[in-house]
Amino acid sequence: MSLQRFQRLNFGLPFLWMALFVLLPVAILLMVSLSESRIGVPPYKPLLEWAEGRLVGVNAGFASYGQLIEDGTLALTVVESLSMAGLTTLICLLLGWPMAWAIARTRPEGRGPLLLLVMVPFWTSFLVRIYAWMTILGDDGLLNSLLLGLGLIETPFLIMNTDRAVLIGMVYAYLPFMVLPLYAVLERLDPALLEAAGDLGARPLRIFFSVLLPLSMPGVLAGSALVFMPALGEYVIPDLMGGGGSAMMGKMMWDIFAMTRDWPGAAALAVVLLASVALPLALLSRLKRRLEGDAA
Amino acid sequence: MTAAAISVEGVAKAFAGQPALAGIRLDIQSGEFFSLLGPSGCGKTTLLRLLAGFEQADQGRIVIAGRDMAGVAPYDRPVNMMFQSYALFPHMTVADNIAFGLKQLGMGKGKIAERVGEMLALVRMERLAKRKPHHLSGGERQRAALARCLARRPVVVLLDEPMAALDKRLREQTRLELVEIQKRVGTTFVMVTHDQEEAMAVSSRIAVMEAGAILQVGTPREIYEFPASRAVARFIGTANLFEGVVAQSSPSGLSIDCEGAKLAAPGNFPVGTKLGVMVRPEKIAIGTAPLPGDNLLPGQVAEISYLGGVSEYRVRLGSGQIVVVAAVNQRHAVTAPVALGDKVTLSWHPTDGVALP
Repeated sequence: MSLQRFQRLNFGLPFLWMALFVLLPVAILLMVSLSESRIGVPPYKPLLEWAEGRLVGVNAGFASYGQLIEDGTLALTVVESLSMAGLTTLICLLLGWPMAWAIARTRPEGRGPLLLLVMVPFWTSFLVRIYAWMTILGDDGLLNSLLLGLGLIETPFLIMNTDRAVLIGMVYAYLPFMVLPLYAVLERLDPALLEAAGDLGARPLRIFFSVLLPLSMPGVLAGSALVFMPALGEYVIPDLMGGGGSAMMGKMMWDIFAMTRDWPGAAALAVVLLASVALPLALLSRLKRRLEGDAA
Repeated sequence: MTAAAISVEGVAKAFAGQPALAGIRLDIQSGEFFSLLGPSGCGKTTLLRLLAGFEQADQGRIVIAGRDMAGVAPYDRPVNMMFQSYALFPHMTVADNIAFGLKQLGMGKGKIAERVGEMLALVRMERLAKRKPHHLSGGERQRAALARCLARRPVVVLLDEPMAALDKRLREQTRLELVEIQKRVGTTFVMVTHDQEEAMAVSSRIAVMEAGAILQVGTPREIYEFPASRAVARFIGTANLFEGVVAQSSPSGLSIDCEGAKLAAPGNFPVGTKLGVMVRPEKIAIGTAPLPGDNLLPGQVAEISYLGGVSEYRVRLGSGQIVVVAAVNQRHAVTAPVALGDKVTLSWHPTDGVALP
């Protein structure tokens, strides 16, 4: 095989992969979202109606989107999802940065075990861990029993089945995705840079904001993307910990899809979710390219 | 005599029980280009970091510009350090790097710009002011780091192996630039290096260090010509050591029994003292008529390295000891004055030897 053909194959294979497993599903999703809902199998009308080999009608419209906007579902879920995912990212960043810094500053032989501890939760089922949190945070759960027993509170804290529980669950689940990229960046940082900043008269707080934080930005961006994107579409945690009140997109989509059996509605919501993930992602990657353009 | 910029008084430092420095005493005069020279692990970098304030001494006192530095943080010291890796901030331009230290002083924008321009001119980097460190060559990075160091007008500039990251050819050129800049600004420079040639070329004085102690402090010439100990003699340049016993001691010098001959050397040691006579390779003459009173040792040429301007001869003595002799190739000739295997007489003037106990 000539090198040129090999290179073409090299380019072609990922492209084929993307077409098959990304573009095609998205196209189907778009198609469903534009079609009309009905009772039947499948529960939507085909987009194109054929009769005797001729196209007789196109049943495409933005009715599902209109419906979502009209009944306020869209605004509610988008706001709820964005704010919950944003808050999760922020808390993960505030917790994860010092964690990553502490690990990166440990003696080299101590870093491996600490990183392992960050990843240990992945060894058990995600579902099991969420159920564990449910028993901890419940009205008669571990936390409340402890606080009640110590006489610190009179009535149990209401955590389960609120947004607070969803937030705790999501921060817990996504924290490692923030810590690891941050660690990778901070570990490679030349310690002489911090000494140089100190030598040039900068106090610790100044060193943090002028040197440490800017240089850790690639890690901050990568970690934020890794937390924000999946948090936006998170389904299991809001469903199990948020009770019926959670209006996060993943759960809302499931409700519309499985309960109401309104496939076009669910598909429309999915398209909006996709767009709301793709937009910040594109923004982030542009920001990252700018950072790298600076460095390269 | 100018005032001492730095005075180190009985400083000791240990890491996890392992002594790194012990009993360090040192005075560095204002305006000096002072080098700490020694093999890796001798404590020279630790001493530099103590001066910068990144480490605190376990014992003793460090006084910089008349101020005791005990408990003074790096950001409050009148010193600036140039790091081995240069440690330029990768997210800032050269100009911003130089301005960083000035901003911490709370200087006005106009004054900062003025000083940055001055520093850029000093290291001839005006055209590269807007570049990021990644877009600079090794030599340019070094100059940027030096400019950043000098911008705050410190009393002392500390340089940690400033030439180590450069390739050999660039190093020699940079060396001259460094000396020139130091002369122009008149700031005291303290440099750490393991490269004796580098230290000799730039320093006004050198402290030779080994195993956490200072062996000798002196000008490059003093250290090379009059080493105070065998360790210094061996570390600086090449040293031929002839071991012997003092046979006679008189005010005019020593007579030493060595290699079956009597060697004369200056010094004052009691009869019977075992010592070594150190002679530098270029002080020994080979294949030329000795002058009256010279020390003479017979030997056979075992190896010749022709290096162009100089030839290096390895001559085996009767005892088997190898003596290194360096001779300038003064004559424009095709054949060497001395050939391999020749029986030769090595000679040197008694005052060219140094008796080391």
